[in-house]
Amino acid sequence: MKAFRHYLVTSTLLLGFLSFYIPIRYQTAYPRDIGPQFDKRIRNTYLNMLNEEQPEILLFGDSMLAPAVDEVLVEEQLGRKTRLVSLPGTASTIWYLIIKNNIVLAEHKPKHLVVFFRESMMTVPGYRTTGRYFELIDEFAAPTDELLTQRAYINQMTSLEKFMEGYIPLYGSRWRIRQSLDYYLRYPLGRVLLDCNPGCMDYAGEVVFEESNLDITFLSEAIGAADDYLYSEGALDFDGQVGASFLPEVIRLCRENGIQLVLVRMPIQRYYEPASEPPGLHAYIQDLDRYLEKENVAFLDFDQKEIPLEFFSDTLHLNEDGKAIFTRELVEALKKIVE
Amino acid sequence: MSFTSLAFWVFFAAVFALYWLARARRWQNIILVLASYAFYGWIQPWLALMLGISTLADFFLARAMKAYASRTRLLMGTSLILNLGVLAFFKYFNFFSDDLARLVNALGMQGDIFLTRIALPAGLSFYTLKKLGYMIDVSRGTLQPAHSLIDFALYVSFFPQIVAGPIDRPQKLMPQIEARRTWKAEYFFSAWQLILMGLFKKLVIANSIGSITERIFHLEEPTILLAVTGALGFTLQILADFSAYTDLSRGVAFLLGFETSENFKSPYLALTPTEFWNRWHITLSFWLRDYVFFPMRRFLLGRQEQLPKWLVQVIPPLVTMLISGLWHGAGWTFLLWGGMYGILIVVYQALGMGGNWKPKSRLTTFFAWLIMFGFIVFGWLLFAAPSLDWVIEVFSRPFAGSIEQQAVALIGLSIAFVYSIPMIAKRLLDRYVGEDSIVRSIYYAVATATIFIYVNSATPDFIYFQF
Repeated sequence: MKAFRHYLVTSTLLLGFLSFYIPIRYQTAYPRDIGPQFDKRIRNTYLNMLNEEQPEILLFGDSMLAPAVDEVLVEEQLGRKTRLVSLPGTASTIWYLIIKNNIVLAEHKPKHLVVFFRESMMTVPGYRTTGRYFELIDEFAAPTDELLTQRAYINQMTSLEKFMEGYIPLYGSRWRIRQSLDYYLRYPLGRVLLDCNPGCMDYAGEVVFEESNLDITFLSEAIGAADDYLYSEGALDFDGQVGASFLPEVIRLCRENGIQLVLVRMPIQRYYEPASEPPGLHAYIQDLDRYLEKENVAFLDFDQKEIPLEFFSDTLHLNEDGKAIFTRELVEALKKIVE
Repeated sequence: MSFTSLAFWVFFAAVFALYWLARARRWQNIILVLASYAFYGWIQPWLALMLGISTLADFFLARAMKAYASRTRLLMGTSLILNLGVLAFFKYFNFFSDDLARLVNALGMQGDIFLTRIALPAGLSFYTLKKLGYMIDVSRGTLQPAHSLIDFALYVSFFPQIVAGPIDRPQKLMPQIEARRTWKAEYFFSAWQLILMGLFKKLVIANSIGSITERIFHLEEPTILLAVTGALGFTLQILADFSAYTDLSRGVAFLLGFETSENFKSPYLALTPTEFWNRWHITLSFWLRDYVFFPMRRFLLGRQEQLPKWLVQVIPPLVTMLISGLWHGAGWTFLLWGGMYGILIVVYQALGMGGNWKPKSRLTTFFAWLIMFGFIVFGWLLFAAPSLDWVIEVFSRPFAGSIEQQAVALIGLSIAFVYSIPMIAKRLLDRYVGEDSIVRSIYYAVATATIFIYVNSATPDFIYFQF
């Protein structure tokens, strides 16, 4: 009883002190605005690339894209300048940001934007937005990106989370505090013992843990576990998701800027046996197809059965032989759209 | 449903309110059984069905033992086959499934779909041991079979324990299940520290260190330094993770008026392997001691005139620890891990350092601890390694490797060191600081504040769920 009373008093004092100190330290209001705080700087990598290289076709997607599509072959076969942007660990939220803050702002806009996705990725705005993904999103987002904050973050929170974000500064600023803690955990020893600065230490992590150094089974299982979210009941409810996703915005931005949007559903190995597919997936794809047809957006569905299992290096990524087959099929399909 | 998820605490709040409102023991037990089955079948309802069928079987088999004493051996044998059969099927099926699939395919049949990998139902290993302990005690006549199916079902399925223990004996839990329970404030005062420390150890320590150790153990070609870093990290991770689960389990049980067993007593301070197993996963160790080690030793002692003396000393610890290894998983690494402890126990005993051995000087104590800690860390290297080949090949690689590999090892060591500080501090508090001390409340207040920083939407499962 006495121990609990002591704990209650000490915790109240500590949390009270931190509730004053943290808003001052991080210059945030109280109650804090819910959702992440983006800095003003926006990375213009792809805006600059479009202006400099002036491609007619831009192929755009996550880590599945580079091992699946031969950019040079597509350019040769279609006779149009083509560029490929394959960003590992990205999904529809960051694609929307890059389209909005880079692609449509470029002086030279591509005529055709081909977005490669898997399963329900285009309509789940909360997928790949927190943790280390947040850092990438922050690079392409500005404080004025209210739609991003609302759909990718606030809409994903429960009422309790919203309350805690607003009224408990320790929770609301937890990512920034963790970043500071991580800094002191990761870097000082490297600087002292190996003369390795934070950039060098981060690079070391990327080199040592790059995908080719990891056990393929573990990698596939890790990818599968992360992707479970794409197959949840909520994520496969197309009508429930599409209005709160970035897909309508991506379509609007492309249409208003004279860019033809093409969506490509990638082949994957996860549910190779048709009977093992989650029950809602087929209905989801049908709904997506209908929606895109209504919006006059080209949709290429490369169902997983078209590429045999031996052409995959893991559950998601194609190997060199798979790349040749998929590129050939993609070119055939794109010819009908771009010509 | 994980103890660290919001869903669990909403579920628990509802159960807690209903349970204490019910007042009558019978209704309280019915509510707990229903809650336990809902908890266990939350993701896969068939798991609850399987639990129900096996509970029914053992309840009636135990009753039959009482009614037909002459058939006790037959009934006990049936229970053993049922319990161990189910456990072996789920636990060891995957070990052989690839070979089986190849064989079936070679015979011209389509075996891939039928023989796809079967996931081990969470908690099966734990509740099987609970039931087996009950059945063995009833067959020995040291325990009366339960009169009420509800009471027995609650003993087996009690939701704070079903997924990862503690493996409480019927002698401890059944009297509490059969007794009337009314709310007392002391339940809360016993529970809050356990729940707080459970959340802190899991969300802050285990999850943080786990993110790097998991990746190290899945590197195709780690250096020796990286493997040692991974082993040290895993040493901290598994203690924080499993003891967090036990703390949460015990805290939740206290809130329902049950006192369940401790599972850890500073295991990494052990000086000998025997002491380690008296401090680590205590309820499993004692289960194995009472139902495997002692019976086997008694059996061999009864035949010692026909057997060499050393065999009587060597076989029981070795076989018990091999079984412990296999209980943790089907794989050569687990078997070797268990075997290593079996050999260590035998060697330490032969050197006169078994049982209650205590060093005479502080220096001897320090070296005994250092050597034992080294064995523990090496044991966890075997335990966490993806395969035996991986372990063997590690020692043929360079010690430190490239600058990048050294940098990653340094990050891992630094993280392991920093996150071990709160565990060491807690140990010192428990030893030197009183329950009501302000220093202790500051520790808990800082732990609470840290939980707010580390809590987020994605919480990896507890490691021991997989066993």
